[in-house]
Amino acid sequence: MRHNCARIAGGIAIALGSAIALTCAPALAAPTSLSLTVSPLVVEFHAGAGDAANATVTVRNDGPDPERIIALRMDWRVSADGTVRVEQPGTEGKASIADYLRLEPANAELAPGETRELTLTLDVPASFSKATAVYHSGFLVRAVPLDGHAAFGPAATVVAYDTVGTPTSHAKITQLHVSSPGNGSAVLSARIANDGTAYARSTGRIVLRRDGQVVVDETDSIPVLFAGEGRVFNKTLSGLAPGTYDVSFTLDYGGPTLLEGTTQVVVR
Amino acid sequence: MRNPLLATLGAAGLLLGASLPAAAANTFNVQVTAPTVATITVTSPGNVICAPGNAVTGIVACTNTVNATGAIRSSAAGTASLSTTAVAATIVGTAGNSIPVSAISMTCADNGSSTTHGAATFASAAASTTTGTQCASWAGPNVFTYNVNLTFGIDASKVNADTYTVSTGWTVLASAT
Repeated sequence: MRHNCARIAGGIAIALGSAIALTCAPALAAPTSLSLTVSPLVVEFHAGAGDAANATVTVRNDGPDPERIIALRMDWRVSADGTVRVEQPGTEGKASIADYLRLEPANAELAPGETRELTLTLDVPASFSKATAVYHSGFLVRAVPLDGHAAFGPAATVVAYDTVGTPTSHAKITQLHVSSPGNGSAVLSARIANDGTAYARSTGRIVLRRDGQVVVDETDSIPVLFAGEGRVFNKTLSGLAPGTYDVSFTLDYGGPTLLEGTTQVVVR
Repeated sequence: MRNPLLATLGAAGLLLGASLPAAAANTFNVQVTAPTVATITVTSPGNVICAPGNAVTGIVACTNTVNATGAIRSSAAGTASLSTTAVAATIVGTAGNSIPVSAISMTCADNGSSTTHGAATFASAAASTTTGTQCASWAGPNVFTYNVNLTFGIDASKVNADTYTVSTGWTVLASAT
């Protein structure tokens, strides 16, 4: 086989998706269809040092073939664009509860149409921090064929929060800027910071008024922001007629007050 | 544990039937318990083949398309995401060469997605990572029903002469926080 490959040096074939032996002209693997349903995706515990808590996670195989469900412990973080970044357990340091989480069974076969309940358990050791905070980790739940080989497959994350004590929610808008790059569009950038001790699931409402008339009224969810973190929320608005607009950005971080920033933009 | 979405719907003046008590005929409440949930179905043609041939620069398109369909319901005021993650950081060839997985770029093309809150945006030529590359994003905390076609390209400048095969490559990942 390698001799054949040598003959086409420079003609490189990269096969993504073949579980077969390497070839220069990779043989076609069979098409696969894998399906996975996971619920819930978010679990919230309130377990302090020495406490235990559990929850049920349901998985289902909606595909035509048997599949194996594999649960991998993970840490995670949300990037500015809202994507959950899967990290190695422990990456989040003191905020991680990965060492104390179990999802069982962590490896299970599911027949087509079969539903299985998994038990998510948090066992917090007595030596765990008593500091008021929200800790987090979770599991990456994958579905693979029974032989383990599929280049592309489905997965979902189950994120677990553990709230210790009574964290306070607070956030602030530290900067608000709106510009118009032309073509009837405006770009809003709001810098927000979580200066509380709880995490913040926020929404941002953007209202644009022209001559007193509301022409834009949109509300977006903002990816979860942990205590001490900051983020820039960006939003592009298009289809605006040229002119001067009053802009209002209202942040609802789940606390007792709403935060509002106002400015103006001249749309070109 | 936090309760899933709990909605209480109230309505007045609806006729529920003569057998109900008078008070109930005027008002009723419906409790809807809707947990966060994701369904992900990934259909792969088997092989996705990236063959740079004699190209030594630029992005070369790979063959075939992977389709992902399903739905995600996020938590109240929360966000969700659809991303891809590569299982390994490098792809190793038979002669021992390796390619960083970031040399493989991914485009998610909408194939009939729908969302109850604003328009979704889809990734174009985003580099693969092991931690997660965004495929689709949407504004609201509601249900996103997606149907996307994933196509791939490879950066020819990062490929040494070799033959590479990945048997356990990418996952299409649904998340909510």
